[in-house]
Amino acid sequence: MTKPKDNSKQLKEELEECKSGWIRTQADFDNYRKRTEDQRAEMMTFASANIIQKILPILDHMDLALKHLPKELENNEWAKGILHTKKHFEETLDIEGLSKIPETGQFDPNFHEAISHESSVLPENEIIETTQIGYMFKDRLLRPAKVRVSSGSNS
Amino acid sequence: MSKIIGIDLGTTNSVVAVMEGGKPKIIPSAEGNNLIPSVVAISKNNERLVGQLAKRQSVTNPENTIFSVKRLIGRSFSDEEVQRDIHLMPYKIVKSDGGVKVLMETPSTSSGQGKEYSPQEISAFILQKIKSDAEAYLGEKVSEAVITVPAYFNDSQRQATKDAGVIAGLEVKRIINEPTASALSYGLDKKKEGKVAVYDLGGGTFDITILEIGEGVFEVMSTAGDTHLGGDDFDIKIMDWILEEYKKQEGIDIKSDKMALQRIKEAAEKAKIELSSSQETEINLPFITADANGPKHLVLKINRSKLEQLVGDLIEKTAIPCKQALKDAKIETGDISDVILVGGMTRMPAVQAKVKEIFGKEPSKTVNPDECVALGAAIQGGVLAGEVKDLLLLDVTPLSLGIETLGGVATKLIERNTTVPTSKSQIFSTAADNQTSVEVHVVQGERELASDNKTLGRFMLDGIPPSPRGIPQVEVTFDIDANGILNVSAKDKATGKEQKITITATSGLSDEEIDKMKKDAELHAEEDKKKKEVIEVKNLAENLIYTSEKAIKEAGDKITEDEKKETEDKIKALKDTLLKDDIEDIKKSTEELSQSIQKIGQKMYQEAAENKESEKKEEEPNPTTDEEKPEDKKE
Repeated sequence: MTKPKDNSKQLKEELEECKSGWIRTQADFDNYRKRTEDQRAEMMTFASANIIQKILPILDHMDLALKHLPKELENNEWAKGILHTKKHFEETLDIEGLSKIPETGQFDPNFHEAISHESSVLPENEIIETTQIGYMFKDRLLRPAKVRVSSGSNS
Repeated sequence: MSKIIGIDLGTTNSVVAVMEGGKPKIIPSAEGNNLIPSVVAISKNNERLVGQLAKRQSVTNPENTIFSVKRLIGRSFSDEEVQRDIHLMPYKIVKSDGGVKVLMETPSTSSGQGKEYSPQEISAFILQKIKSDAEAYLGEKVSEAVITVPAYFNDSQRQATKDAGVIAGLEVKRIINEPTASALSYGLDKKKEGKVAVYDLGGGTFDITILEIGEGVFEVMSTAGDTHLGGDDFDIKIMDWILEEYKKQEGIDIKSDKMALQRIKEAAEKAKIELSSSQETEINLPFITADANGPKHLVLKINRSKLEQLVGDLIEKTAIPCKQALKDAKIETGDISDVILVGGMTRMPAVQAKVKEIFGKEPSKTVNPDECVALGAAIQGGVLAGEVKDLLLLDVTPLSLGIETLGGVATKLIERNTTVPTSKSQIFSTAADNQTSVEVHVVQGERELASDNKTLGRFMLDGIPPSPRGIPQVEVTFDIDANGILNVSAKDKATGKEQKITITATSGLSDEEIDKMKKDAELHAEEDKKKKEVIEVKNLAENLIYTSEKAIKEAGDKITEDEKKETEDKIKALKDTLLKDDIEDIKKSTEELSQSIQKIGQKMYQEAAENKESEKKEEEPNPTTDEEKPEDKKE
C-alpha cells in the first residue's frame, strides 16, 4: 500500500488563482459600475450636445446668410422676419447651454483653430477674423472657432 | 496590480485602450476624443502642447509644431525617408550622432537657437499625455504599456519606440506589430493555425501584411504597401470633382478661395463617409462665394456609383502590394484563412468588395477598424498581466428561459443573451381558490405561448395551505451555474416547502434548433403578440368576475336587489364574451362590469362612512327627555 498522492500544493495554487481572479473581476465590475454611473450622469448633462453639434452647420449657414444680406433688403420686412427667426433659434439653443466663443481676442488653442497666419496691423497672436464661430456647451468646448491669426506687422 | 494599457502610436493619430472585465475598451482623451493627434508643439507662450491643442495652432507656428515624427524615429540621418522629409516638413530636421533630431525653438532663445529633441523624446511627450489621460480615466496609476509598431519596422526603430516609452515613464512590456494586434482584436489567436491577410487602409498609407498563426503565436510572412495612398487621396478626388462640377454649372473657379476650399474639403470627407451607408447624398454649401450679382450657393448631389467611379483607380492601386505580399510569402489566395480590415477607409463598400475580389474571401469587419490595433494591444497587455485566461471565457444563454403561467403564457425569468453564471427569482401565486399545488413547467424559447417553446422539464410543488387565489407566495428560482447546468426550484414561502429539478446543458436545443427558434419567433412575432394579448385580457376579465362575485356576496343586503341584478347581468355578459376570442368585446364587457362593481364599492364606503358618523353621534352625551331613548344601535 502506498500513501495517496498529496496534491494539496497544487490545489492550494489553484485555489489562490481562483480567488485572485474572482477578486479582480469583482474589482473590475465595481470600477466599471462606478464609471458607468459617472458616465450616465455626464450623458444626461451632455445628451443634447450631440444633437446640437449636428445642428451647428445650420447655424453657420444662417450666419453666412446674414453676412450676405443684400443692402437693398436691409429694411425688407420678410428679411427681418428671417432674422427674428434666427435670433429665436439662437436663444433656444442658449437656454440649452450653448454659448458663442467671442470672435476677437488673443488666439488660444483651447478655444480656437488657426486656419491662417497673416501679417496685420493687429499685434501678433491676435485674432484678425473668426471665419466660423466656435461654441461652448455648458463649460465644455463643443467646436473650436476657426480663426485667422495675426503674425504682426512684419511681412 | 495595475493595468497594462495598449497604445496604437500612429503617424497621424494615436489611440489607447485597456482591458476591463475581460474585454478591451478604448480610453478617451482628456478632451473626450478616442483619437489623439500625434502632434507636439511649443507655443509662443513657451507652453508645451500635445494632441488636439498642438494641432489647432500648427498653422501659426509651423516650425515648432512637430507631426508625423514616426517617420523619423529610429532612422539614421542618411535614410531616404529622412532626406525626403527634410524638404517636406516645415520644421527643422538635423543630424545628431548619426541619428536624427528635430528643432523646436522657444521665444526665450532670441538667437534663433532652439532646443533639439530626438524623435523618441517627441513621441515620449505624446505617450506622456496618453499616460496621464489614462490615469485620469481609470482613477489609478499606469506604469506599463504595450506599444504597436508597423510590421516593417527594423530593430533600431523598435528600440527607439521602446525608449520613447521609458522616457515617458512607461515600462514597455512588449512591442508588437500592428497587424498582429489587429488579428488579436479579432480573436484569431484562438485558432490552431492559419494564414491571415491584414488589409490596412488608413488616412495616409496602405499596408498589407500576411501573418501565419500557430498555437497562438503570430509570425509575419510578408509585408507590402504604398506609403502615399490613403483616405486623404480619396477626399482630394471628390474635392476636385466638386470644383469641376461647380465650374461647369456656374462658370466660377473657386480653387483660389481659401475659405470655400476649406468648406468643400470638409464636405467632401463628409459625403465620402455618408456614401458608405447611403446610396446618395447631397453636398449643401450655401453662400459658398459671391460675385457681382450677389451670393452664390453650391448644391450638388453625388451618388455611390459616381464616387466609386472617381476613386476606382485608387482602390485598384491596393491590389498590387497585395499580390506582391502573397508572392513574397510564397502562397496563393486559397491559402489565406482569414482577411481582416484595418483603417477607417475600409468602411467603404467598394473597398470591401475589392478585398473580397483580391483574396476570394469575405473580409471580417466586426471590430471597429479605427480601434482594432489599440484594442489588440490592450488584449496583449491583458495577457501579459495574467488577466486573460481561457477558463474565464464567459458564456451566454442563447434562448430565454421561463415558466408557463396562467393562460399558457410563457413568462421569461432569464432573457436570452444573459451572461452566465446567473440567478433570477420571481414570486408567483395560485390561479384558483384553495389550490394546494402548483405545476412548474420550465420552457426555453422566444415564443409568447409556452406550447410553442421547448419543454425542458416539469415538476409539482404541493402542500400549499388552502387560501384564496393569488394569496400564496411561491418563489421560483432559476439558477445557471458556470457549467451551464440549470436548476429550477419552487418554494412556498408559507411552509418553506421546496421542490426542484436539474436540467443539464445537453437537454436544451442544438445550434440549428436555436437559430430556427429565433427565426420562428421573429416570423410569428405579430401573431404571438395578439395571442398573448387575448390571454392577458381574458385573465383580467376572469379576475374581475371573481372579485365581483366575491364583492356581491360580501355586500349581502347592503345593496338593493336591482343593484345586485345589474351587476350579476354584467358578470354574465362578460362570461359570455369569454367563450369567444373577440378582444374588443371582452374589453368592453370588462369595462362595464368594472364600472358596475365600482358603484357597489362606492356605496359600501358611503354606508360605512355614514355609520361611522352616527356612531360618533351616539357617543356624545345628548340631552334627552324622558320620552326619547337612544334606540338606533349600530351592529
